[in-house]
Amino acid sequence: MTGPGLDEEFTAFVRDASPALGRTAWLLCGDRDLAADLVQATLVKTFRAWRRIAPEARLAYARRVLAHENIDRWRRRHGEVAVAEVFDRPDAAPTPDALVAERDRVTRMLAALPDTQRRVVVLRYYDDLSERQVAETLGLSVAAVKSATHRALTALRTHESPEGVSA
Amino acid sequence: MTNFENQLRDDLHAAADGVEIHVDPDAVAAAHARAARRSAIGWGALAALVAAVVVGWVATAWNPPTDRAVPDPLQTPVDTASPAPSPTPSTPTPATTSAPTATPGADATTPALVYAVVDTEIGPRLVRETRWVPAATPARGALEAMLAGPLDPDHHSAWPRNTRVLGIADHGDEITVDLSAEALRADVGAEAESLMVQQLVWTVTEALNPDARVLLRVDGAVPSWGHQEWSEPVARADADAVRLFVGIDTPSEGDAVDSPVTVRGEAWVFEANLLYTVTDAAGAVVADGYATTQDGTTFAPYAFDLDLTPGTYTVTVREDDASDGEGRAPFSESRTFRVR
Repeated sequence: MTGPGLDEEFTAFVRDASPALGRTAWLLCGDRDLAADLVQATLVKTFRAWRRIAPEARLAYARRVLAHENIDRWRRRHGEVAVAEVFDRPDAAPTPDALVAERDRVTRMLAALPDTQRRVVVLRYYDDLSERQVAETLGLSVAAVKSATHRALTALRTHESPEGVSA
Repeated sequence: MTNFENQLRDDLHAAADGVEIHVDPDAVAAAHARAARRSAIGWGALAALVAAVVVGWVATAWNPPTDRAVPDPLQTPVDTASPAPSPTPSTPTPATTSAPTATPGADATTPALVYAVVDTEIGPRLVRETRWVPAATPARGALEAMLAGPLDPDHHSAWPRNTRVLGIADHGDEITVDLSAEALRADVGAEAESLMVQQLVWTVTEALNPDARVLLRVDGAVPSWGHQEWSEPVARADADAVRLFVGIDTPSEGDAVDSPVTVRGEAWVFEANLLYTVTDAAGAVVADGYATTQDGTTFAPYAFDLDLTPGTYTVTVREDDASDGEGRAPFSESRTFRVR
């Protein structure tokens, strides 16, 4: 049973939240098609839980589903390979070379991080969540988020130098 | 924020802000409608599942062992030069007098979580039972219990029952399992084949090392059941892709226990809320409530105590209905036990 207006409400949410969720998904998995699949699956799950989520918590809920959905999907698709070694180019349309290079650099940098660190970095520095919000989104303690952030930043600093290869 | 953090944030925005991932609202609606339809036709099967997820074996109140230092967990018949097992580490006291089933005659036994398959409206899923296996060779014991088939008549195993374990070799992050040729007689579809392999992977890694990969051999060769060659080591698939979302590890079906009864298991339930109901032999509800798992965003342990007078009871744990009937119906699992 869906109440009147629910479909419209959800459609509006899909329209408003998809772009941000899509970019987060792309940073998390590095693959446009996979990102689209992830966002779609995320939205279906969000809709299923729609009526028990407070309106102001919907985006946070969807982001939480997404952060967990990602793990699930890439493992099933790629076996044990964490993410594509080389991220695909986000746009088929002509893009300035400098931007393409920048995207390659950033996404390779993220791909070199372990899962949890990558998720923490994306949520903390792209989605601008607080440490507590990241903790709630990922189901971690705040201490674990702090520690993952610290390790990620250390690894990324190392990665900045050409010789830096994370183990 | 440090300069480096600010730079990182700028880099992420520079890379991702222009990225457009196209999501079609109609596709979302269609996917949702498919899920809802599956739910509608799945009620009958699910009701049967819910009524029947019951197991008949022996276990006691125990947590999955944090101490995995079980002596000599391997046993390969060709290589018996392994050192004599040291004394059994803190084997829990069985709460029942039923005999261990896996390998009679072993002096010391240890509980092992052994995986089986149950059919659900979202496809086959792994469920697990506690079985008592020789403490000296828990991995082999668990595998043999798995091949012998689950004790719960509502669970099943795709592995042919007469399959034998030819060898298990633990190389730390990789475990090699060699089975006899009977294993190839399994007649399964592609999805079931994959889950059959996962059933073995989860069982063996549960006994040895959850992070290890398993290289499967049948009579020493790469096995194939017609859908895929299993030539590479296989790791556990994600729990939420293969496991039933609720489970009871203890008490076991038919256990005789003292009150208060501690019910333990693992579940992945929304907001860590697990619902339970206890009925007496006449079917009257004598207790119900919520338990909390340790983490609502993954499979996590739960435990709750029941104060009960002597008698026979059935405890059912279930997911909260996540969707008011919009998605699939909630999963549940039940156990019947006796309070002394």
